[in-house]
Amino acid sequence: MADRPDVWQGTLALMVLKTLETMGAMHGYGIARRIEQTSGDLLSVNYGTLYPALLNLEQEGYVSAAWGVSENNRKAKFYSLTRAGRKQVEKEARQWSQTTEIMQRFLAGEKS
Amino acid sequence: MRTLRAVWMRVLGMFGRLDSEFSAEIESHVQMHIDDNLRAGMSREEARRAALMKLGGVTQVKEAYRERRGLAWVDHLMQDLRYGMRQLRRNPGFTVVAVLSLALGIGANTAIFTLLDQVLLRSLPVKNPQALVRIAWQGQRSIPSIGLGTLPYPYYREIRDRSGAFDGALAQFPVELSFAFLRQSGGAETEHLQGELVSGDYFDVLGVGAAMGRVFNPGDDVGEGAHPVAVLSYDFWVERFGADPGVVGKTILANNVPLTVIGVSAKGFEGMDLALGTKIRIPISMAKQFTGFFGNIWNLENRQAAWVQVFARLKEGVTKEQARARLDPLFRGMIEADAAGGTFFEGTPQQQAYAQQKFRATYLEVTPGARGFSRMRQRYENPLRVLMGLVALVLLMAALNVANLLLARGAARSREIAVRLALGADRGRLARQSLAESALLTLLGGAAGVALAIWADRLLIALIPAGDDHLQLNTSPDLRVLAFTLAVCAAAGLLFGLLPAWSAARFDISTAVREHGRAGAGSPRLRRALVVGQVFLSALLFLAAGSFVRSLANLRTVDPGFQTDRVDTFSIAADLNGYRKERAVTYYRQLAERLRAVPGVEKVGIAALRVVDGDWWGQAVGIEGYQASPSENMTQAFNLVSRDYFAAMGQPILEGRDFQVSDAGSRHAVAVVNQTFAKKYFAGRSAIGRGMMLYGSRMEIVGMVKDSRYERLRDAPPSQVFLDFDQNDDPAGHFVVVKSSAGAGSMAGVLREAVRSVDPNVPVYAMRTLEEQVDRSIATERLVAGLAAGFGGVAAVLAAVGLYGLMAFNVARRTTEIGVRMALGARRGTVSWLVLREVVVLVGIGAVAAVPVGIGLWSMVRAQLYGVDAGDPVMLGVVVAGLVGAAMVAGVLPVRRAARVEPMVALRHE
Repeated sequence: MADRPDVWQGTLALMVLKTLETMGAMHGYGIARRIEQTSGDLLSVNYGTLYPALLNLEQEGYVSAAWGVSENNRKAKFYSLTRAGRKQVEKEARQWSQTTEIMQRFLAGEKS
Repeated sequence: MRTLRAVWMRVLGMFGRLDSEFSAEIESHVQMHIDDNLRAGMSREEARRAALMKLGGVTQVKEAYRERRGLAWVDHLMQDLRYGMRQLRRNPGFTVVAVLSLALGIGANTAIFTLLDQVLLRSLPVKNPQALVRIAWQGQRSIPSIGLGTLPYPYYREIRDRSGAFDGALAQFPVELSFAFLRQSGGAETEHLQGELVSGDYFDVLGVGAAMGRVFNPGDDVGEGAHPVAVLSYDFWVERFGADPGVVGKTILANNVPLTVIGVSAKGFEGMDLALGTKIRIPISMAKQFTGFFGNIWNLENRQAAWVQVFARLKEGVTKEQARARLDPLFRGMIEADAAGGTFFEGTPQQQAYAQQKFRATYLEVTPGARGFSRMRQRYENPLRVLMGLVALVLLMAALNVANLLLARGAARSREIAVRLALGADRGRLARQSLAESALLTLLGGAAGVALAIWADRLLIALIPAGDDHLQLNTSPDLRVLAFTLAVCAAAGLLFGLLPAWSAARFDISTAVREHGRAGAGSPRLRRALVVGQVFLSALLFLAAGSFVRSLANLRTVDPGFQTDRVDTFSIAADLNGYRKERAVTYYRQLAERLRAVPGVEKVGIAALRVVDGDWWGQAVGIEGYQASPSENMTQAFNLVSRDYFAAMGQPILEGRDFQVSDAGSRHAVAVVNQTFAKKYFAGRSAIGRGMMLYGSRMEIVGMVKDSRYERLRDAPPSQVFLDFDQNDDPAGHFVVVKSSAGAGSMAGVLREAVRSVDPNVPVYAMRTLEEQVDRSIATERLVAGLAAGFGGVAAVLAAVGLYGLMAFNVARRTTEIGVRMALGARRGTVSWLVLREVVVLVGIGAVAAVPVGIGLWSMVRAQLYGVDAGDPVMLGVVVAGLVGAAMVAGVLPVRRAARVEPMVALRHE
């Protein structure tokens, strides 16, 4: 597990957090679908990574989970953002945009 | 913080409902996906298929989730341990052998360490024991001295009050007590037990309190004879008084002196010498009442007799060296004053001048006192160290044996390992599994070993003659001992666990497959090295066994110089019951007469010192007609004996005569010497009629007896002087010898009765035959020899198991080769040799390697041996016989199996 690339896991975690921030409490399936839709179906979420990532966020205290009933009357585990999670979204989003900005500048400079 | 929290959650995660909740989550996930697919217009079948495909392998998802959930390594560890348990259960034979050999090794180490720790290592249960120091007077003290390093009482007082280096100092002197108390059933009973005279600040300095009542304070030490009080030891209080709180304030009778019990000392406190088993403590101001024989030595103002053992507590921040430096001027002052005014040296003016010079050269030694001071330590220190060394070898043997067994089993499982590797198993994981199995074995062996150790210690303590030593040893291992055992287990586990783990990690699949799973794990070279190691260690153990057994045999054949058959001995201490001077003389005369009147009794003798019991009484004498050089040590070994003592002991008088009745009243002092004395000082001429000076008075030598062993059986007879019991006006008869026509031992009851009929209050103790007395004196040697022989036997078995395993494996591996050779005409003898050759070579290498190491180690235990030389035939015989025996036992089956190989069967087997 330790040797899976950090970038992917880091990005996934941010996507999950952002999704929860926008949509409120959601179950795993819903989060996956939402990420896929937002990406314009460019991304396919691997569930083998999604659930461990959710568990990880839960263990770190950024999300909390509770069993509830879905819109279709299915029993499902709902994840929602904690206060620490909200702060984390902000922080990570800021870091992410900074990184992309740097990368863009770098790539633009490379071209010219 | 976040990371910590996550780790904690993961630890918790390991105990939760692991999989069921996640299964439910996945289940709901799939259902929702199917619902969506159905809504998108798929058929039920299609919807389900698509959902599952998108999810991927359920097992993989679960696996990934599980890894994230708990701490993977703990999870894996648990799996490995479970796997190890299954492996151990599947091979009960292997498990039993491995656990047994480990239990033996670990148990032996724990058992010996339990004793070693208590005798040699442990600090006393007192306040801050590290600050305690022992102050010992070293050098040739040249004044009457009792005990090693002891001081005159006035010296102690000055050290305590004037050195400025200590937060108090204590003095102590052990005394034997004749203790009487009233039984509830009525009537008094007397028993002989150990007491101690202690200074008033004894308990203060040690920081030991009272369990009941109070302990002494400095006020209890003021005024000679003014404080007839006593403090009981906790164990004695429980044992003899049933822990009765009413004992405080009661009066007990010790040496016929009534003492008021003022308290009971704290639980667990046994004093500064654990070997004594002190029961009662009395203020040292009562010294006059509790010391007899040579009365003036124990005078509290006497500067010319050393008898108190001194301990002190260092002031904070003061080191031992600083304390010594501060003591020095004080001590020099005392020594100078006493040397100048000293009138206490024996001999010619030259000898006196020499003694004075020696006296001035004495010095004070400040040594750590945290462990107290005990003669027992000196007596058992070396045997215990030797035993610790031997058990360490046994443990090493056991560990090698288990490593060997594990490798052999690894070889048998090489096919399984090959398959697992081929399926992608992680090599590190394989090694870890192997380690986990080793850890389990170690734990099982350790647990069994601790149980074994408790049992073994009880046995050992029962075998040590406790009569005089009152060994206060605890057999149940405490935390310290368990920590030691754990360390031993870890060392052993690593030793035998790493080899197989390492070989599992570098397992070669292709070879395993090519060789039909017969090679691979446990390469023959590694196993051969292990076997050589086992042979090497067992050779060392055989060497030890041979040496100690031979030494014991030599001691057994030593002629003690007296005849042990039909002789009973016992001890009494009438002087402790208030018999003094004339009354004591009368008592012993009556006792001897009463005993002589017992039917069957032939001779009765009484002496001050018991033979071969570790007792020594030395005094310097001047000898007429012998010119001693000033530096010559004229100390002789003394004993005080009655008429007929030599006859009762069967010790022939070679020249002159025994003491006579007429000597008793005579003012003409007489003495008997032994052969060594006569030879040393009179060079072959007769000793009879010569004079000798002792304490300024002359005595005449009237007889010479055959040499006999004195302090210990192993020491050559010293030059000895026997004084006449009847001529001493304050005799302390302790040792009674009775020669009878009946068998020794059968007289015990009658003799006790005779003693009681003279005075029922005088206790009889240490009743044993003279033969038992001699036997007891070599009990430690017997114990060491017995254990060494036992360890040698264990070593032989373990070495044989190791050799056998290797041979059997080789024969199995080479069956085809043997078959081919036989088909080509090799004879069975040649084939047998083929197999046997390896045994011979391995045993040879191991034995040859052991020789230099053995000689090196042997010189370390030389002092423990008696009459054994490096080339001792018996010792070497044991080593050779042990090795050959082990090799024979190990080799015979595999060799026969090899010789029976049928060529056709072997080739078809291929």
